[in-house]
Amino acid sequence: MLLDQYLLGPHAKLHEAISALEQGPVKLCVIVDEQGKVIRTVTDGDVRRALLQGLDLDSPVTDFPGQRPILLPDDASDADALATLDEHSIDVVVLVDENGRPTRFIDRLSLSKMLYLSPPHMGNGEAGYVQLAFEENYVAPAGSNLTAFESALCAFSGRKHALAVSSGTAGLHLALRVLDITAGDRVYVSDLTFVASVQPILYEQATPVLIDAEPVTWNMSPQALGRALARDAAAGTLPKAIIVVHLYGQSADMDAIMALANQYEVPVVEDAAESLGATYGNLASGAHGLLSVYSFNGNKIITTSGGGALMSDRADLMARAQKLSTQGRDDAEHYQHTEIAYNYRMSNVLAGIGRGQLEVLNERVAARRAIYDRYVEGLGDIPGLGFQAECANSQGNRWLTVISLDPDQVPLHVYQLMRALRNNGVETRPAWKPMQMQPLLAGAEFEPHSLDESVGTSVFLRTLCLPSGSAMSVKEQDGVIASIRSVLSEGFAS
Amino acid sequence: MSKAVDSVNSKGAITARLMSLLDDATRRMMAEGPLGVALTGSGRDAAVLGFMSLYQTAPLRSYAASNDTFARDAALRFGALHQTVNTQMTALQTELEAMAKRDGLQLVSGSFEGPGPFADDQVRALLADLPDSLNSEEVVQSALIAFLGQALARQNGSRKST
Repeated sequence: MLLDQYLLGPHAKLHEAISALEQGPVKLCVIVDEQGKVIRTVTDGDVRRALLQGLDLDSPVTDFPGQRPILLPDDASDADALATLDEHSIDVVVLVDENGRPTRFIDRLSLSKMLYLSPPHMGNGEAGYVQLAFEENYVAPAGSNLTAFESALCAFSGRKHALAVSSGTAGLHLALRVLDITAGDRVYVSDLTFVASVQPILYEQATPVLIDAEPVTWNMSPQALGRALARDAAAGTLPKAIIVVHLYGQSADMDAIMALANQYEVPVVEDAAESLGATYGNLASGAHGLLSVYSFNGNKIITTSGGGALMSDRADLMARAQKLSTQGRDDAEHYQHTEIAYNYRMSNVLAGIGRGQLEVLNERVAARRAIYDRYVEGLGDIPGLGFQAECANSQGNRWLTVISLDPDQVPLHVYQLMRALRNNGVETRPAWKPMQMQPLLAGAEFEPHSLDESVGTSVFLRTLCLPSGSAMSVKEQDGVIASIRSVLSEGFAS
Repeated sequence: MSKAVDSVNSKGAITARLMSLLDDATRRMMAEGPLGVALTGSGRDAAVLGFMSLYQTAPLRSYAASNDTFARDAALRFGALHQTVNTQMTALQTELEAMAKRDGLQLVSGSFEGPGPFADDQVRALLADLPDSLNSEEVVQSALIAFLGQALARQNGSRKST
């Protein structure tokens, strides 16, 4: 929340402080010195104490009894702020810059009202399935919930086999292991993605080759992919796998990508962490590649709190993945192991949450698509404001609605919009920072969309993910739309 | 040589690399101490402010001549607290440095001579070793357009190119 209306100079009188306290919803004003540095804060309680001590309305506020102001640095998180509020039994805390000048404040009301980007949205069945795990006493990575959840995932996706694991990253790691990817192997991966798409490549000390986005859906550019495959085929350095991400729930151009992968005989792993419930052609997202991965992290379209699944039609690959996910135990009565493996299996308790969530997945997709449509309706007329497009022949799940701001038409950078919305209690987030811009991947090979243009960096620098939770009410979304319009109109007016 | 092999040294790949290097150089400079940005009409100055804004939640501080409308636009775009001075062009840099010093900040800019991320060794090396078909000014402007828009990115200001 912005501070201007609550600021008073060093010579302010008691009656001015009372007026300031009456102006806004937050019962606090901030006294600053000539350099704008915070001297103290004044609350209703301070005013009462001042009057009880006999000070009159023309007394300077600096004469008030009181204590040192409680301040936090401007980069303090909401969690830091809440801890401070609790520690000092106060309702408002002022945040200051490095020179002690106030920048904003955080109050309990705004914290409790924060509208988050994509919070979990439980249905009616989850608690019952969790209770079932307790009743069966399968509070372990085995049990009826796990079996039923995997069967339901197969039915939903059209895949023959599912393996529920502890995270989408774990699923991706297993995919690389069953493809026998080892140190030095080249693996192509979408450049514009969350780092979890790339980490498993690094776990295996393989070499990521970052494939740029295309400018329409911001997914892997078939143009860049084709160029990279042609070059590496000529050099005899074809990759061992291609990891294709379906960004924010919108499918990549799988016809073009699968055609290229088949031409060069390179297996495709679909990172469908964000796209459960989306479709491409007649198939579910995640049903095109040799292997695919879903995520059930807490912010996804459905969740198991944390979790993921590896999917495939290949029984041999999935049997090997299952073994690797449970410490790689060999067939024997005793505990015998011949290779490095992991403890990646999903808990039966969490699979219970997943069972309930899958039952409402179609509703969640419909809700998120409706949210996207309302954003388009509410913001689509703003010059220079655009939306992530869907690939032809596909229907995204619109996990997150992502807007772009054309810098030639909108005078504010998206980070300024993001920060202003945060002060209004609305959480938004920047788009994924491209992997080629990450210090972790400094020097990694990068294939641009075209010889003249790289796309991912541009997308990162002009896009913002909007609150898209399926439980968000129309009224809440109207508030987000109004806030965006307000911030952008202020920017235009400046 | 095939078209596919050319892509490694293409304008598309080099502009992406340039943005990555500038971003990282900015991040490292900010870790060393508080910075303010001199805006003297160059798109590169505005880009420095932009990269810094990715890392600092609190408003940045920018400094410019009072009649510099591009500087004002850049400050608005990236939410900087903008201070101006009415002075002769020849004294501008000195005035801006004095203003930043009063705020306890080191002044950086988009100058290739530094201080600032465009003076980073890797950035300079990249721009000094471009293929014959590319020139540094064109590469820099292309890289910055998505960040700044055409008008700001194409400003050449008073700064010299490599």
